Amino acid sequence: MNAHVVRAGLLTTVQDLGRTGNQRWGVPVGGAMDAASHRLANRLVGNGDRCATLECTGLGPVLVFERDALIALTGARPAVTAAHRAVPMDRPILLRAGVHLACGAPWFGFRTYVAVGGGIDVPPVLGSRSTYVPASFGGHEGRALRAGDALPVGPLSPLGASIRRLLDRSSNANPFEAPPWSAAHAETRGDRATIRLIRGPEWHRLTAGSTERITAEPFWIGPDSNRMGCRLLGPRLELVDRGELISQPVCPGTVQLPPGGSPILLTSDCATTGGYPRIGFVARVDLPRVGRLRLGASVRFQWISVEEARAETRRWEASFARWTCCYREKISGWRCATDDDE
Amino acid sequence: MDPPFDRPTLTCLGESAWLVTWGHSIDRETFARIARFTQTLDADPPRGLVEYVPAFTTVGVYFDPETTGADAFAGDLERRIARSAALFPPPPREVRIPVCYEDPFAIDLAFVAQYHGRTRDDVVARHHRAEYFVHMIGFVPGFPYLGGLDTALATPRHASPRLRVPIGSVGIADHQTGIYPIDIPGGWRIIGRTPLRLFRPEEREPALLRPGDVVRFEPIPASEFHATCEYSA
Repeated sequence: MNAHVVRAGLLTTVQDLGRTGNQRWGVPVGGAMDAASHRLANRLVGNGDRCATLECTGLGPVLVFERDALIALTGARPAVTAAHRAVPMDRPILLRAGVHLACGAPWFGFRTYVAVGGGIDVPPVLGSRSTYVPASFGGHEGRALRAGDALPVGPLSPLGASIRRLLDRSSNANPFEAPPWSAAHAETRGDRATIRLIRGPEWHRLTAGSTERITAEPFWIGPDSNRMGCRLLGPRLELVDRGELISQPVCPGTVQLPPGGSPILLTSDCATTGGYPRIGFVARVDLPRVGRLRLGASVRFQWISVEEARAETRRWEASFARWTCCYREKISGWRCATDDDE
Repeated sequence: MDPPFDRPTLTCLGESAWLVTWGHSIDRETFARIARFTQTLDADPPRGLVEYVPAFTTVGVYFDPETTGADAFAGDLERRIARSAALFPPPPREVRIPVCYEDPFAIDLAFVAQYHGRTRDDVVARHHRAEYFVHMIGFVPGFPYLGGLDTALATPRHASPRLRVPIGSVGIADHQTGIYPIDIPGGWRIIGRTPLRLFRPEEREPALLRPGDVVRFEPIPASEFHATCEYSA
C-alpha cells in the first residue's frame, strides 16, 4: 500500500530514531527531533519504536491512502481534518481509503508526528530511514516531501492488526474511526520549556557572571534555528579565555558557545565534530522538549548532575513502559467490552 | 592553557558518552595513539559500545546506558587504553585523488596566487606535490581534514562563507586543505575540483577516505574531469 502526498506542508520528512555507527564517517545521527512523540505515535499503531513516521514541521501535509490505514497523530496540535471532520490526536485512527487527511499549522507545539501502522517503508540508508536533507540521502529520495510523492507503507504488526480490527467494526460510512479516549503520554508545550543541562567539558571556561546568567535569565529560540541546531538568543555568555578548540566530538543535545556569546543547542542533524567550547549537554529526557519548541519560544536552563540525569532517563523509560502496558490492556479490555456487545 | 600531555584522560560527554583525550596538538604522534586505541575498540568492543568518533586529539565513545553502567564502561575503556600502547597501527593506505585546477573549478585560485605573490601554476604545483595526511573525518559526511599543506599556501578563509560550495571542491583554510563531499555553504578558498565522490551513502563504509590515509592530488585537465566525473555536476 502507498500513502500519497497531496500537499507537502512546510517541511515534512520521513524520520525514525536515527542512525548509529556512522558518526566516524561524519554522518549525523539524525532522526526525529521529538523522539518521545515519534515513539508514542508508533506505539499507538502497534509499531516498534524504530519504524519511520512523518515529521511535520509547522504547516502539515495533506495525505491520502490507497486502502484503509491505521494512523496516529502526536506531538504538536494542528487542526487535523478528514473529509471536513476534526480528527483527534493521541489515539489510533482507522482512516478510510481515499479520504484526505489534512493537517494544518499547529496552534500548540511545532512538530507533529504521523505514524502509519507498518511504518513508512522507504529503503533504509546506512541503517536508518531518516531523511538527511543537507547530503540528500535517507527518507524519501533524500529530501522533504513534495506534492505527488507516493510513500510505501509496511505490513501491520499483530498488535496493529488487532487495533485495526477493533476500529473496523462499524460501517465504513464514516471518513475515519477513532476510540473515544486519548492516550497521551508526552506533554506538548511549544512556547516555553525548562531544560536541564549537564556540565560540559568546557563548562569551567565560563566566567562567574555567565555561570549565573545561564540559569537566571531566559533564552529565545532564534529565527535561524533548524534540525541541525537552535540558536539561543538573549543573555550573552562569556568565556574566561577566548579561542576555539581543536575540533572535537559533539552530538545532539550539546550546547556550544561560539565567540558571539549566543549559545547553540545542537539537535538531530548536527555535525559529528565541532570547534566551539561545549558548555553543557541537555539531559536526554529533556531533548524531545527542544524538538517541540517553536521559533521565538523561551527556554530556561537548570543544572543537573549526570547521575540525576541518568536516573531521570530511567524513570521516564519506566513510565513509558508502564504506559505501553496500560495501552495494551486498554486495547484488550476494549476488545472484551466490544465482544460482550455482540 | 592545557597542561602538557601526560596520559589519556576520560571526561564525561553527557549521559551516554566518554571523551578520551590523547593529546593537545594536531600531530602524527597523537594520531598514532588514537589509531591504536580505535584499533583496540574494533578488535575487542567493550560491552554496550554504540560507536566511537575519532577527532584530531580526542575520541568520543558512545555507550548504551541500558546495556552497561557509565563507570563499568569507563573501566572497560581504561583497560583498552592500557592495552593499546603495545599495538602497531596498520600501514597507511595511499589514495590518489585527481583534481582539475582549471576554470571554472578553481574559483579562488587567482586570489590565492595574488595573496601569496605567486603564479597560479606555482600554487597548483605546490598543492599537488605535497603529501597529505587524513587526520579525521568530520564537519559533514565524508569531509577529510588533511594536514601537510605547504606553509607557503596557508590562506585565511572567506570573511563570510559562500552560500554554496559545489560538491568535489578542493579548498584551503589556513594550514589545512580539504575536499567538499556535498554541496554546502563554506568559507574555504577553492582552488580545484575532483571528479570523485567522497561520500557514498549506499556503501557500508560511506567515506572514500579514512583517518590515517596518505593522500596525493593528481592534476587532470577539464576534459578528463568531465569524462570521469562520478556525480552530476
